[in-house]
Amino acid sequence: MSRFLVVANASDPEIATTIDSAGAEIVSAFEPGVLVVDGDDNSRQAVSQLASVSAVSDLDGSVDVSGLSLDDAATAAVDAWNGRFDPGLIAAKADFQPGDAWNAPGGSFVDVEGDGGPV
Amino acid sequence: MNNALIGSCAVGIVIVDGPAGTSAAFTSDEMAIIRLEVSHGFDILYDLSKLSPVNSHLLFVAEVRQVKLDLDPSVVPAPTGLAKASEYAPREQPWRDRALSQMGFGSGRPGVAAYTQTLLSKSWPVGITPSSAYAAFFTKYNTAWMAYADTSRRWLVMQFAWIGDTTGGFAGTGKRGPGTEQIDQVFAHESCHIFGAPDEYFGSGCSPTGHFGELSVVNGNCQTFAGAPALDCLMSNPPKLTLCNFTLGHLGLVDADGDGVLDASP
Repeated sequence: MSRFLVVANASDPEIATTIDSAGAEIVSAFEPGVLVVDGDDNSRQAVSQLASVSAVSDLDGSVDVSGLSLDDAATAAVDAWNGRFDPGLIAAKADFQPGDAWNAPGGSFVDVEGDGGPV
Repeated sequence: MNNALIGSCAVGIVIVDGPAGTSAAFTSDEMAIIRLEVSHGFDILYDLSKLSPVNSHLLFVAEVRQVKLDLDPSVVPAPTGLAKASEYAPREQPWRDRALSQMGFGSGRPGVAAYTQTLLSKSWPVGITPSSAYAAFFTKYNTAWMAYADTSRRWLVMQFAWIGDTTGGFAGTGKRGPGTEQIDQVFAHESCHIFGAPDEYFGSGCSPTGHFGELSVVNGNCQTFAGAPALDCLMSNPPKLTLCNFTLGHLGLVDADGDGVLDASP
């Protein structure tokens, strides 16, 4: 399915219920109330009808929150979403050259404290 | 606490920022990149969880904290590029434990465990109640390697500058990073360690007889020699955006008895 962003009053549990009822799923939620949702346009429309939802992005598209007064955390989360659609970033991600990052000598799952911590 | 890649997971994104004007200081643009890439990393993990035979209902809730230290980055030893076991603690403890202290927690594993406990018990958006939690420290202070997870499975570390340096010149290590645009994939790989998955690439020193994860699954995709054939996997080399059946097992995404419930469900 596609993804869309929901900017909401996060104290409203009906948001989660509506998303679930519409056959969609929350992928991630950033404080104070910015949700990335996996769903289709029907679920997007259902969520956008809720009074506690202040903005919903297009499917796999950006969202305009210029008319909203969001706090810094919400603004940063929305900016992170909108940044996904930068053509330069999309091109860079398509050209994945992992380099040495997957060749950590001894692996990258390590006992940092050196005390035989649990694996 | 649930240790499998199942259900709701709380993640504390801790940006350990250094003094202004030093190599450890983050710019606002860099912090924005972290937010974007972590969000992408959650997408990757969510998408990979759909390889599970039964819906794992994976979702992430995240808080982001910026912790500004007055620690001079030059006091943290530079990496050697060898990533010996003894090199991790001296490079992580100075900035990690100061950050934990500023957040109101103790040092070391107990301090991180206390922080993750607060992530489990706090109130999250739309009534989400997480069953697992971990911390993700992003820093520009020196570390022994560019990205790794602790075997306690409570935290991972991402050295932003090293990951972003594709020249191989970072601190003279000769070890290049994949670029900031690939932080999402690195984050997803390290997060899989949090949920029990081991490395599979030859250089990790993996053992094909080792057992990992909540279901104690053998590391059957371990490359036992350089260039050994391996199943495509996020934990292998070169990494692919998929999970082999062994890693699915390590992450607890198995329904061996076919009862419609994942065997590692909490």
